[in-house]
Amino acid sequence: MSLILENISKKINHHAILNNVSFELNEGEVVGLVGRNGAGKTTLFRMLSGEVQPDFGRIGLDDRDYIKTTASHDQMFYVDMPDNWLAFYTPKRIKSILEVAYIKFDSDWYDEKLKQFNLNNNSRIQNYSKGMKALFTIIVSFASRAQYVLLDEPLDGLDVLVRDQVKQLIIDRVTKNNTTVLIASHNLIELDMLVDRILLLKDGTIDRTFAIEHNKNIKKYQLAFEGDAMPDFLRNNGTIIAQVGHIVTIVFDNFDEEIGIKLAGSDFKFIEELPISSEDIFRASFANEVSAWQQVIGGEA
Amino acid sequence: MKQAIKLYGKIKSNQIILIALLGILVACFVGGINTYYGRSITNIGSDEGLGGLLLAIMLLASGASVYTDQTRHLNTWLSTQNVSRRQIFLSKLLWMVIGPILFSNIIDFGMSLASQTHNLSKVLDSNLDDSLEGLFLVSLVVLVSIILGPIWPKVIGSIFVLIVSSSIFELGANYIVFDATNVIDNKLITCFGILILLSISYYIVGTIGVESEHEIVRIPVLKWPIVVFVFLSTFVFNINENAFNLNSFILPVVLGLITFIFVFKPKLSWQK
Repeated sequence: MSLILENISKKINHHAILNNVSFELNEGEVVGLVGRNGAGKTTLFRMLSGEVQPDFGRIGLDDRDYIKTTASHDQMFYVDMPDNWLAFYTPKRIKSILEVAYIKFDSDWYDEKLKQFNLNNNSRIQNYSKGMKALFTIIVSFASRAQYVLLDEPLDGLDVLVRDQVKQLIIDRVTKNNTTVLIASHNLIELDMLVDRILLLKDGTIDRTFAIEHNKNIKKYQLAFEGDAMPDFLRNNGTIIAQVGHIVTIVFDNFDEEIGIKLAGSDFKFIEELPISSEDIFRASFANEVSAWQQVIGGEA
Repeated sequence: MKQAIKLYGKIKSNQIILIALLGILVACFVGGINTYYGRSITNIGSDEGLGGLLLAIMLLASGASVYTDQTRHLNTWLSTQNVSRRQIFLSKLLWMVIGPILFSNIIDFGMSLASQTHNLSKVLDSNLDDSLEGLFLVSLVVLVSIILGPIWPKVIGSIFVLIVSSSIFELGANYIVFDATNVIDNKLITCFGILILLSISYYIVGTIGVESEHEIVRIPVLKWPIVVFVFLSTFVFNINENAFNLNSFILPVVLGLITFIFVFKPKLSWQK
């Protein structure tokens, strides 16, 4: 079973939020969705879940039109947690409601996880802390036993120990139930440990789909340059992540032989290749914007 | 449809029970007062009985409860479920309108039976009139609430339509040829009106999404008709209440202008 998005476009208040977004989610996959603030991640989630209808394009569940086939809507679970009706109910009541909404709702697992994470069954969700709300959302999402679970910033507000447990819980559900999970997050370090691939949303469209190990043309280096000024080709070809004196950490979005030869030249005291992370790829994807800020900051200084 | 009724009923069960309890409490209160003071407030078992009062109170409570669906983003979530928007609309109508109307009638009829009144047929007839009238007004409010987005325009718009509706229908009745004294005709016309209003609402809910809930007027083509409606209905209301003179235009123009500003949000600037 696959969820397919084809050329999805959406305008809100005459402003294009999404433009020709296309991708596919396969069974048992954990996919990350990243993008800058306001890139349209939440709009995309709302569209996938059926809250908002696309102006153009198709969302298909295999060969069926997902939006029009309301009977298949229990295949997907998404709640927009900060603005949600669940907050006014207790977990006990929510269970009784979701048992009606989701035919395969796993009540035993739900009760077990609430107990495991010490979430009060008789307290309204609005009385929970931010972390507890996030935790509850994850529990309720997976208890629905929906094939597709959409999580918007799931690890936001969780302490390190709970975060580890939640990550384990996501992996466990995906492994046992073959659930497909789409996670929108700004925490790229956490995403690296969870996802099979990452979709990068830029300028209203999926600019890039990547898995860390498949990005041979993106490279990260730490190097020390000779002389007072940094060689120009570094700024022109890469995104500078950090600079302390003559030591620079840089990501090259399109690393090629020419850059390699320049780096091996006499301009540098030493160079060392560092392991690449999603955060580096994210920075490299927004190299122009980062460069503009750096110039502004440089000018102010 | 069954799933929509079951799901909405389950989510709202506590509030539905509270509305029913409110009805029972009002009935007990009025019954107690009547017994104590000798039918001085509301006549149980008379043709102008408790039914209408109960109906109004329960429908008001239901309306408030339905409005919270929007503030709590329940409508948004329901639109992601395996039920259609139109099925949700019908479920709401069933639980929050038809349910309270039936329940208030049952209470009134039950209390009439208990008080061993002799005019049960008149009580039934009065309840039918009240129910149809109530349902007609609710249908108007429902239509207004669907067309308008945020809660406050819904409330103000509904109150406005309820106030001016009597004048509009009076004016309409003068142009439509029917025997106003014929009670069955009146009931049939009310039923027909309810059906038309609910059909329009049913059609609209299937065509608009929850993303338009923040818009004052959710259907762009209705923006101008709404401004014109506010102007004309206020004008008709004014000349119905008072004799026609130049002052009759003041309130319609003011309300029309206010509506225009809220609907079209013109950007005003004093700088050249």
